[in-house]
Amino acid sequence: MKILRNVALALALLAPLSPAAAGPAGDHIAAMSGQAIAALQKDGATLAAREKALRPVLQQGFDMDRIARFVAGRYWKRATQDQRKEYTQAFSDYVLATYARRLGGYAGEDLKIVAEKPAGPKDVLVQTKIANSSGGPAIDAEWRVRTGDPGGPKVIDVLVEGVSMAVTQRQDFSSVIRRDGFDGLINVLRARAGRQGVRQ
Amino acid sequence: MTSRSLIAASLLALVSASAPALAQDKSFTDGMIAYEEQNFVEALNIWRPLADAGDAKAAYNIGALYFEGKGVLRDPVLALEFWRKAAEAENVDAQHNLALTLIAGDADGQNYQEALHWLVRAAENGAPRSMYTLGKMYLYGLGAPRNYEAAYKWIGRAGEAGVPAALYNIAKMTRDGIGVEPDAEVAFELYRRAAEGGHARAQEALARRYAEGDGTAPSQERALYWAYRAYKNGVEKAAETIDAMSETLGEEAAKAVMAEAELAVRK
Repeated sequence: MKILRNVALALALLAPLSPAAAGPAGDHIAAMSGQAIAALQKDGATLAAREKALRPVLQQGFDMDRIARFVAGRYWKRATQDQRKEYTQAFSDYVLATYARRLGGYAGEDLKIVAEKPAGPKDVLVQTKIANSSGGPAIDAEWRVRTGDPGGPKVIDVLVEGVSMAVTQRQDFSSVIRRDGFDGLINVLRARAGRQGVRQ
Repeated sequence: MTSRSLIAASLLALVSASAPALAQDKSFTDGMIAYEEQNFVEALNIWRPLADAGDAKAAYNIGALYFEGKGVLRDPVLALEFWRKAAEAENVDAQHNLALTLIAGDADGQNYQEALHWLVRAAENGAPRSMYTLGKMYLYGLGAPRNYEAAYKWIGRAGEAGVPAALYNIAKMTRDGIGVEPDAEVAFELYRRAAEGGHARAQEALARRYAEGDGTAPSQERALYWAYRAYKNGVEKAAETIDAMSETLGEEAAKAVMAEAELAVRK
């Protein structure tokens, strides 16, 4: 299931622009996937460089600070200002490093925006279907987009086959914090972010 | 590789008839070319026999493919096996990734002692990032008793080798007197080098030091310059220093300084 979610997130970001996108939330998802494809198809750059070019796409498309706060759960309130700062940075580095590199494993899978529906007073859920290029079943991915913030629409969660990545991550982080404390979580995130990919 | 092991590798390649015959004669670089074209399965098929014949770089890269799920289903445990094999052969990239995965505990459990062992080997092999992480292990007392002097030594060596985050951390340690006598002027110089290296929080810290004259002669102009660069680098609270310095310097002077900083940002 975890593999499926990672794959779906990767595929969803790499799918071509969908003409069906209507509202600002759908446009946001379509624009992000378009930018991701452009970054990965850039001629004359190594794959490592192309993957690095995905980072600003992810950084600008997601509300990384809000997601970081959410996945820290109840431990956020107890953390000091310094810990929050270090953690938010480590979380962002981890997400960008990990997903940019995994996205490098995909290209051009077909994403269709199926529907957009309101989710609470501030969010829109953009429902997408991602075809599997190797012939397996299509994957349902939903993008929770917060609209109306001054910075423009931002993704705050991805649900794959109905399972929230943010909630899953919060459970993962909470077990790390119970074992190693909040500083331990920061260390774990830094370790995850610090791994390197394929080398020449 | 000795000629004997080369022959052995070729023989092994000949008898393993199930693998694609063409891949057997290809080099590490052929695998790299396939990888760059996102032909991950081909890269894997080229690197696999090389790894089996003892090529540590090929084994490291196969580990990375498994870890990231490129051309294969993601398999962190198998990735760890390939990295361990390459690490035993003194491949520093593998030693580093193996250690970090043992710290993160997201493949086959957490093991600080073993992580420390590999970080020491990678650091002694001259890997700057491993030196930095090793220093942090001593700083937090992970895998070994807390040791501020050892922390200062290894984080410092990583900083000298050009890791901006290490310079930033060694600056904080020098400011606070951890593992070394506190020294505001030396700390300032270290913040400056980390800031020049592009470290966002070091840029913000440097701006405040210029504003307050901490470890240096005060300079509202330099404070504004570095606050602007930090802000452009994502440190929102640097906006406070930008506002304060712009007010005291006056609009014309402030504009000129920010234009200079903008040029540096775009470089």
